[in-house]
Amino acid sequence: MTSPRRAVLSICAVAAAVATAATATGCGGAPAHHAAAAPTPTPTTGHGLVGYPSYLPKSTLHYNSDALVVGTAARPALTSQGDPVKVVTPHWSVVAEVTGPEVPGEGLPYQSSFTTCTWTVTLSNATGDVPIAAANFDSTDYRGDVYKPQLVPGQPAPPKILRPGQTVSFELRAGEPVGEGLMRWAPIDGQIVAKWDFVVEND
Amino acid sequence: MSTAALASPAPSHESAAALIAPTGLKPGSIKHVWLIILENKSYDATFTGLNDNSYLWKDLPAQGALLTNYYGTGHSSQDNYLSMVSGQAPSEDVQSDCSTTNNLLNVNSGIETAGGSLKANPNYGQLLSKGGPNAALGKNGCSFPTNVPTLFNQLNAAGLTWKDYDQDLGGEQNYLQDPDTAFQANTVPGREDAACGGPGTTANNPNTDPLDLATPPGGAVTSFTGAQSASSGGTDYIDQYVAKHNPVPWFESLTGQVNAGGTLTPPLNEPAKGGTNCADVVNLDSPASGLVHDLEANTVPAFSWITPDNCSDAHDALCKGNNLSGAFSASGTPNYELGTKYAYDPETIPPKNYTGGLYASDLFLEYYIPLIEQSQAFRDGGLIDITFDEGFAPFTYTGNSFNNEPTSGSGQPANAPTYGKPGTTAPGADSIYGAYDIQNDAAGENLHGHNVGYEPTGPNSTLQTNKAGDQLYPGPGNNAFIDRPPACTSTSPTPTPAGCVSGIVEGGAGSSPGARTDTVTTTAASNVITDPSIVADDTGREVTGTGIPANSFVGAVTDSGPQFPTTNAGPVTTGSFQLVDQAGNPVDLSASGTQKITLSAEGAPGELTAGETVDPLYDATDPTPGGGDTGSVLISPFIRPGTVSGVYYNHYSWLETMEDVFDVAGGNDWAQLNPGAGSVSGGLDGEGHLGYAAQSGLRPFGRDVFTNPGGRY
Repeated sequence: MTSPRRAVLSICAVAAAVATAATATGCGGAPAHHAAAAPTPTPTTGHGLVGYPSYLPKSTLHYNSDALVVGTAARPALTSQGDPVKVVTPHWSVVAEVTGPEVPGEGLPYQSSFTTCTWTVTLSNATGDVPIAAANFDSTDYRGDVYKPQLVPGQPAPPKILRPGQTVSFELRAGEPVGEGLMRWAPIDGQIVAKWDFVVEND
Repeated sequence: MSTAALASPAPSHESAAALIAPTGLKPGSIKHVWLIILENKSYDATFTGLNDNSYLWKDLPAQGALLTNYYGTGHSSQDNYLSMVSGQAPSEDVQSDCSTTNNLLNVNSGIETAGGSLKANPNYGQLLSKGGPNAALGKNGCSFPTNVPTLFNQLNAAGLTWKDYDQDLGGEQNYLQDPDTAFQANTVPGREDAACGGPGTTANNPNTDPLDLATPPGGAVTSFTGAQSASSGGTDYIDQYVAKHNPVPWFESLTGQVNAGGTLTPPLNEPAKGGTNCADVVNLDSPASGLVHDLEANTVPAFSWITPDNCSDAHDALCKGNNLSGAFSASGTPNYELGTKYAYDPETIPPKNYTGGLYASDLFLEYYIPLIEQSQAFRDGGLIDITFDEGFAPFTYTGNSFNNEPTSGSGQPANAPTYGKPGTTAPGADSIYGAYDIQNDAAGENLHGHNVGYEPTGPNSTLQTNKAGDQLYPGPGNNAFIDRPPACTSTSPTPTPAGCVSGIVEGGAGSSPGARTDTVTTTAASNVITDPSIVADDTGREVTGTGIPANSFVGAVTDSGPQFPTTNAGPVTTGSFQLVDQAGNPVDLSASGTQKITLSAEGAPGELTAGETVDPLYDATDPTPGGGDTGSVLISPFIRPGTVSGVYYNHYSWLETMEDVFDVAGGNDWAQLNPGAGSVSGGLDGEGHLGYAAQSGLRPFGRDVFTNPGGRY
């Protein structure tokens, strides 16, 4: 499995969600001496900041790496694979997590530029009836091509509805190129509420 | 200047080696190195909890490797920066941070070529000072001519990119100015406008218009060698950049040479991607070309040299400008001001205090290290290297340590050194002072698998004793933390002054101090005197003053900090000492109040005059061969978190490591330097190693450091 990564944006998104005073968190808050700073952080435009590698001891990282990112249709969450997202809709909320992809043949002598990718989706802590469908997930690669992952053949299908108190995990699979990608979830009317950044590596 | 056409790599170079010995890494594994160079802290000041600088002391070593025996190669400061990138040994003018005129140490013909190899001639490839060995300050020079190559030249020849990121280059981003002003590129004209961030104006150069760094012109420029705060006249010229901590401008192999008539002889080479070497010397916080810009845009060069300013590098105990303390939330989270035009420009936020030292360096690291670690470039074969130039004894002076003894709860080992306890006032190398002072002038490297306590001195700062065993010359360590005998003014009929050594060159040695008057506060019925000027090596001095009983002495000294002054007027430490009698018993005072006391003059053992006490730092016989143990921290996917190595390394080992991991010997410039020694890509040994990085058997960072050579988790 690739190492989980985290967008720097998620730090400030968390801080904005949980802080009682924007200036106390130090993320996007307006310093007193500056005029009219933006009230919320703007995502960085480059692709160079992708988050901490997972091997660094979390106790040594000086920010709250375990707080939840919140995603809505108005402001979809952007985070790294392996990070949970609290998705909030007008009717329910749920904690969603995507990990992966796992790839066969990692480290073998021959490496293809495309490989079979398998992600694990976990949904829990629902506060209402949450629709589940593989069709509500898609992924994009580094070129912007869109893929529709399917349920892994031979594995039991997840329920169509996740009810409060239940936890469900299922696997999605697609063939994608090596490189960066983005898994997206749009559970209601095609509106994306959460995105997980990942890297397909097989070397 | 070499006139031969560029040649192919020498046949002996194995560019397709299976592994880079002894690192254990596959060639090309390390793709991005960030070297952050801090200032003037011994290992025990930084890595034992003495100053509670928890990020660098605990967090960062837990992420990677701690080298417990990493040594600077000289005193003070500037010679270390130059040695790191060139393998050239120290000489007195740069050992004094070029506090003199910046002219050339010598011309190209001064490069030692006799013998043809380091094995035949231990000074092969070194630039001989035009003033001769051990010449006095001002008789040497600070800059190197065109045919002395550097690591940067090697990277150019290998087609690899590099950048030199310097905090405050051109002036500090001053929050006191209009907060809506865009990034200001050059707010202090004439201070570092010479080539590649060199000191002075655009006209200054070492060859035709050398700058006298000891005589700043005033106005915008009040110091070339130290940080400067706001000047008078309502205009702010805060600038904590100092050129002595940037290696690039001191090599004409990078800047080129201005000749008579103003023509420029080109540098040895330029970046393979185009442009000039000086174009890759940038302000750390430049929104167009600085560190965070490059991390975000994923345009990180192969090698990033990062020089924090004289505050953020821990040099100044009390900062003259911004220490970044305002750029953190109450919980300690960096405030990157995302979404504003001030994003990633921490100096635009007013500081909360002006505390420097290891407090300020922790702030700097806590701001920038997370960004490096979260970059794609770090994942892609990254290596972060946090190193000090040299080790300074952790006495509380000039910001080298806030504390001289462990603070409660610091976690420092029980047997950790404490500076200033009674019973440890014996002079010489065996005393706690002498031992630790000498340790701070120590050298270390690993040759042929063996840790050794020496390094090559080079031709310009040598070591030699007289028949009596007295050290005559300062050596690479420049006698930095000890007091030497005085030089003789006459030797007949008797040596004068008493205890003098004929022919001694003092270098950076101190003299036994004279009497000192301190303003102190006493408390009735207490034996503790508050004295802001007291330091650990004052222990044992006799104390006289109103209400001070006869035969009273300075006992245990306690210096503690940091404090957090809200202006740049200090103080950052508090000091006190216990008053004791000649047997070491505490002496209670009878009155409270503020008064002046006098501490006795000190002298050499066996040469004391009436009223003098023994100078604990006096040492006539021990050499000062290096820059002291500083420790070093490296973080990389190729290093298992929590790695600790006690192998002896120094700046020459570091240079060799960089040359190996970047395979500079695979570069395309093997033309013999003429006049000169070796070649850019081949170095002195045909393996790509410059200067004393080419020592036979010198061990670069090995598998004791790169403990996860596969780079996978």
